[in-house]
Amino acid sequence: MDVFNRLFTRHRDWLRNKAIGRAETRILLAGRSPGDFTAEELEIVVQEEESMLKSELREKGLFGMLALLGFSWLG
Amino acid sequence: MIKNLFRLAVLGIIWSRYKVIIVSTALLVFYIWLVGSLHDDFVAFIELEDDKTHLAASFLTKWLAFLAGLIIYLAVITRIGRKPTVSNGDGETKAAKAESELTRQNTEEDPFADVRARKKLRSAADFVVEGKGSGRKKK
Repeated sequence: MDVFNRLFTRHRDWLRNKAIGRAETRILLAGRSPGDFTAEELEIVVQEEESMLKSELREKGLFGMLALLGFSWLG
Repeated sequence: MIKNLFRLAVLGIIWSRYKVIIVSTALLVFYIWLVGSLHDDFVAFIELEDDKTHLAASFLTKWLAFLAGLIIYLAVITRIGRKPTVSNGDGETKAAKAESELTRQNTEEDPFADVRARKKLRSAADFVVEGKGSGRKKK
């Protein structure tokens, strides 16, 4: 379906841009600039940030689901 | 208190995003109910009068009215989907802004351009494995 493809692509682009932003911040905080790295090195950094973002989103989704269903860690 | 605030926030988000779709769907449901009710009344009236000459035409009219309502509904929904986003006051639409941002990114030297273009990113492990693989091939 075209709609699902478009949604999926938009989500992927959003995630990629977010990961790139995080990677850029990480690089700048380390006192370097993205231009100092090769394309492969940047890809590794962004890939790491992207997988971290994905797991964070998964975790948040799970907690949100639990909250919606009325479950809580405090009982 | 927080639960109610959360509910309100979620409802607000849903309403602001899907306002037009919600209203048009409600209108379609009301329209179908109205046409159905009118037709039921007409059929009841025909049965009372015992004159069934216009019965077939009434069914045809009912289904044509349903179809017309559905077509109008779909037209409204798809037109809204295609409509460009509202301008932000400077006369520049969001889509145009995004496009200019993209061209700006492309024209300036973007170190992440390659990463943006990639469908799937490779991890450090992938690079190591690829390196070993290509090394073996060379032997």
